[in-house]
Amino acid sequence: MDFSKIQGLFQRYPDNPILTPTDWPYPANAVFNPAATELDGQTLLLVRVEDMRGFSHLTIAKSSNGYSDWQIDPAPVLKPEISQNEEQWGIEDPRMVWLEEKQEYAIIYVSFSRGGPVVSLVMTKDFKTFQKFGCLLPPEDKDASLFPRKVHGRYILLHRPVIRGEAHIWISFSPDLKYWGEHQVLIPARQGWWDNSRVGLGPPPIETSEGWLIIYHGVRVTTSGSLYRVGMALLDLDDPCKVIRRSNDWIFGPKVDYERMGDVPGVTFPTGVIVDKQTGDLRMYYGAADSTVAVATSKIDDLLEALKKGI
Amino acid sequence: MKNVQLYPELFQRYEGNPILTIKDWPYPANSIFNCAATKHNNETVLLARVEDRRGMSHLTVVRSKDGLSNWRIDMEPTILPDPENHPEEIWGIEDPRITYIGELDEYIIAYTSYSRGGPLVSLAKTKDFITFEKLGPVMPPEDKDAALFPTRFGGRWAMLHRPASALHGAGAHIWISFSPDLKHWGDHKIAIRAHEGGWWDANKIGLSPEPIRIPEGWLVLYHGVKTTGGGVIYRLGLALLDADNPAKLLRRSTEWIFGPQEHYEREGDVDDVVFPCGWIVEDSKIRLYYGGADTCIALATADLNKLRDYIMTCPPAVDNSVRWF
Repeated sequence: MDFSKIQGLFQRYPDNPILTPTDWPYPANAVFNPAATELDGQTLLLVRVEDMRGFSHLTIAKSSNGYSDWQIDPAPVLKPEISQNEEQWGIEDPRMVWLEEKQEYAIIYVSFSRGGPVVSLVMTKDFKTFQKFGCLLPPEDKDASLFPRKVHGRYILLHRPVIRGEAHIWISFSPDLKYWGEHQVLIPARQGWWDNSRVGLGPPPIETSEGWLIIYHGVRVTTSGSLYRVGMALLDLDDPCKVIRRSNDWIFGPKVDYERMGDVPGVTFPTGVIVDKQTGDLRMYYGAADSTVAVATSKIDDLLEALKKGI
Repeated sequence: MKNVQLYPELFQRYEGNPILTIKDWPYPANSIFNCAATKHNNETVLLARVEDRRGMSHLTVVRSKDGLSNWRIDMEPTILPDPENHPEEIWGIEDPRITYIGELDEYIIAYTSYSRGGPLVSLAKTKDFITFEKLGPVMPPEDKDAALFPTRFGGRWAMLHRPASALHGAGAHIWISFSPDLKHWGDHKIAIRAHEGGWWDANKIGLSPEPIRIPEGWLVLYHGVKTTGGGVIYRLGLALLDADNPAKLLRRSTEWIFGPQEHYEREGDVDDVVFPCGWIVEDSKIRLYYGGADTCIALATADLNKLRDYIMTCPPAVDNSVRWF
């Protein structure tokens, strides 16, 4: 059965995966879970690259059309630094937003410390020089992104602390990106459902006329491993603590070979999204089976419509 | 007769122990334990964790003139979980620590809210132990065993707390974080790291009562958890943090100084636990209030000067500027 022919909200790019270790200019075990943005008319991905020690770093790949002809930097752009002790075992899974008021990109990534994974912040204007700000919250925490703008004068972070295997999406607030508070559960895992074991933010929140569109991953642990699938939710524009809608169904999941086979089989893990503001066309970049980078497309209006219909 | 060399005991148990049990309680309760302690209106005030038969905890004020006896227990729960306004308190509130903040003339209570996503740290404040204002969660889960310092450092408030990572082998350590406003917290660092291997405080430690200022720095009493084939043993050790930079560990006891020994510490809902959440210093005499076996409240006393002498004989800490190692 060719699952790729199933009509869904997302269409896989036919030439997926778009980036694999064989494309890489230097030895890499896996390339996956990229952050995405647009820079100088190009699509820029900040790709998680896992080396053969098992440690990850981040490398830039650029393309004019966002699908093909990727130019991959010959060397990592962000490496774990010994001086940042929390980065001992690598840096992973970035999400980035353009902060208009700061005129800077804010990249939230996971530092893998001996004390567990923590959420860290790095800022850049040009993807050449970067300023690291260290960890924002104590461990264990990951799958975090900032909102692209302040709401009521404060920055907002979605993140995913883990407690004895239980893991929900939390929301926290900060006046200055340094001190964080008012933590609360935003999107909990749902017992019995496809997203029963863990949920975590996917790409950064997308501002739409209807609210903040959240694409998240949900995990179901089965006897033969974990299934990472994708759902969505809509948050109130003015009060993002309010979940207006949440999909009952998963809307995207591992179906084709490059999602079903790899270092971690059965994983679709979106971390970057690019939206054409004129057309509402959306490109979702995701890690497939913790091995390669793939892309799928949809339309903002279709996603909002599906949420409204109670998908 | 053989000359038996004993460890010097820094804390002496009160002969009337346990000082508070469910038999004393004015309303039905499963267990009374882990209480914060402070002085208010010239009285000893305890804020006791009370667990009901559903398994959920709330906090109740207990007062005494001498801090030893004639306890007056509030007739009903003083601070209840309020899941409607504070969803993080859905499964109860636990293990408070009180810090009197001179600058604000207020008491800040750090306590554990048992949220749907796991235990986390919340703050509340009061002036009179009659009315309380909840300030909400200040750390995401899993995090507990928190207390505020009574003074600011370079304009910032500081708090010790104990996050826990689900990562196998990561251990649970005492962290310090800072805040400009008591609401938003950052600059998180490990202040005291759990030992590894066979130590009495291997893999899991947590702050016990609030830190107290002594001339040598900040005196910290912490619990270490040893996991054995038969369960866990909660025992206590001392540490000293730098007076001006409380993220810096100066000294730490190598041996535990107080542990479960008496029947009311050895046997209860959780066996082999001594768990202090409050201490009061008057004329260099310390009264340490602790939960016994998650079932009752007991008291031990010590001479602060002896604790000071003891901690200064403990070896200097190795450089912990490496925050994560």
